[in-house]
Amino acid sequence: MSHYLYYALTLGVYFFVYCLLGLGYNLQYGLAGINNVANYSFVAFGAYLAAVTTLGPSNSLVQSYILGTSIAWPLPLLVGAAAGALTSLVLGFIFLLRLRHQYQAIVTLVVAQVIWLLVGNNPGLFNGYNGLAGVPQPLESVVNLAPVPYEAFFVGITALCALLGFAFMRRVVRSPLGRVLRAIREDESVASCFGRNVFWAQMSAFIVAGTMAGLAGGLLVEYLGAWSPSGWSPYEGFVVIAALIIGGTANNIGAALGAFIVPVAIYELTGFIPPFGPVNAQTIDAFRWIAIGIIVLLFLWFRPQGVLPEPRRRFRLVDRILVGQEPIPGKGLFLSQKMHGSDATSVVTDETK
Amino acid sequence: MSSDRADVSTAPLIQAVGLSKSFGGVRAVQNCSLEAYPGKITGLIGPNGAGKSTLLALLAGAERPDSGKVLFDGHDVTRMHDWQRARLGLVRTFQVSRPLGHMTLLENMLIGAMDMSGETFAKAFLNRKQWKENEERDLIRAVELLERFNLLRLANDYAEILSGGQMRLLELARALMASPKLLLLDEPFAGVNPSLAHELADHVEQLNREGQSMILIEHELNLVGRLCDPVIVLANGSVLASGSMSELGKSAEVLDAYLGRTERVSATPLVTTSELEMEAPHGDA
Repeated sequence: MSHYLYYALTLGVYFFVYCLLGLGYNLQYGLAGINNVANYSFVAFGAYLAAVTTLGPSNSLVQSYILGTSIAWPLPLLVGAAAGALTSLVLGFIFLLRLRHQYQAIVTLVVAQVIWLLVGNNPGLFNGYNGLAGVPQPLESVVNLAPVPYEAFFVGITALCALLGFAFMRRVVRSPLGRVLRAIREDESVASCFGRNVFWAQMSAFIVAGTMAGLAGGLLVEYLGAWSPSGWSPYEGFVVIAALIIGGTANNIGAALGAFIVPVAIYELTGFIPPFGPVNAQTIDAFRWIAIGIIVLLFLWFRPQGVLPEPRRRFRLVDRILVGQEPIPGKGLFLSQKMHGSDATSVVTDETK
Repeated sequence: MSSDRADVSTAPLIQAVGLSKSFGGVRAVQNCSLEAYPGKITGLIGPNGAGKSTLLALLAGAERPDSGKVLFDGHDVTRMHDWQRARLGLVRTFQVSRPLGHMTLLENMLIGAMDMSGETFAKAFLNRKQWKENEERDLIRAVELLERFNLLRLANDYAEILSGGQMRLLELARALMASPKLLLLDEPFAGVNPSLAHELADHVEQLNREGQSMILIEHELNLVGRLCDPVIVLANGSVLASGSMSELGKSAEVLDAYLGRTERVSATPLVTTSELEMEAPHGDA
């Protein structure tokens, strides 16, 4: 029984980490319209930096890496988040200054591949293709729990991070910032000719999304205890993109739903299918990639908005005026809670005041 | 016409001095100088490929000139980006309507408002009371403008559902949300039926009566004659002539350039404004 519980808790960790990743990707792609295929590079840098600030000084006989130190938890997580932010800041100048649309996507893919090869072929950085291992789990000796309770403890850590990420994104989406980012996504020339600095608006969203990715990387490496280039190939980034497309672009709940459908239900869950007959582990791995690809294709053909489409924001002030009522001073800004027909799933409600 | 309009001060609101812009080997604008004054609608006409839209893009900051200067409201804005010029009050519309399709009309209008409070991560979280107040003020203004342009009933709908004419109305309303000092209108009547074109022209005329300064690119010379004074004629990327429509109708140079005629004309105009309109090609390059 405890095996099943342990297994369920493992999926819980993946779910919340991918929620955080999906929310960050929703910020940069769903809202700000940045076509970034290199999102997993930020996860990788977050993971490496969290690992080397946990492992202590490098011992080149075992594994060699830079910046080896050991700082108290949760500082390594914050270092991982900062690494994601810094990577975004640097790459943002390459991705966001002059590149748009498919050119932006192609360049991000190329840069992700270059980073992957650089890290893999330079053992002095993060131990090359062998990667880093033996990263201790956070507070393991302090809480001193058996494996299953510790797993539950770790689910709690990831859930807290995901919930904070969700609350953060909820505020962003409902603020003028969210509106400006969506305007940039729709037509950056229009946003620009109404006084918005498109580059810095996208850059700030890119950095915040990179921070969330770096934090997710830190959580992953602390959970897995190891990190190597085989774990962050461009394929891994595709999982996050697929999750958002299927769950619902520009919808935070859609991002969470996508995190459940793709990384958990399709990707991780199928990894536990035991080999049977002619079907071995490699066959199962190949088929789950094929399955993800086919599902993404079907969504792009028949439901490009995803399971949960972007919410349409209605202003109660105007609803009141349209039905002949006077607007209520100070109350006019609340978004309507009314849901209309087929729009019922796509009308946002707001009780933020 | 002009007697109804706001008083004109002597200082130009915008001034282009020797602007030039080439795209590869094509000289779109060559040593072009013009001025537009507050309270006036300055017309910009010329045949296709004359460089009108490029000139407008240079004024708005969407394109950088190869040489020359743009002065706006006492500032040298030549090296400024379009978003910086917009913050000074220089706002444009586009030749092809560009609604923010997957945003509601109200959200389109709020983007036009150029209220920057709450538009950074820090301000979105720390300055909430301020941006809520500003948003409420802007919403009320947006509602007034949407009502004025007969779009209020669609306020909470996505802009992508609008007809071509409604998109033109929204574009104008959105630009007015910015309370611009100078509004650059790039063929605002293109592609709309004559009835709606006249409705739009009424709006433009009324706005001008209220003191709104504009530069208007348009091919419908009847509308230009009705709305604009002065009118600047562009040909081959240079200013050919300027003056009132009635003066320009008598200019042989203008008629040659606009209609492609080579014969000299007498002091009596060979063609009238309405004939010009019939022969002028529509749609800009």
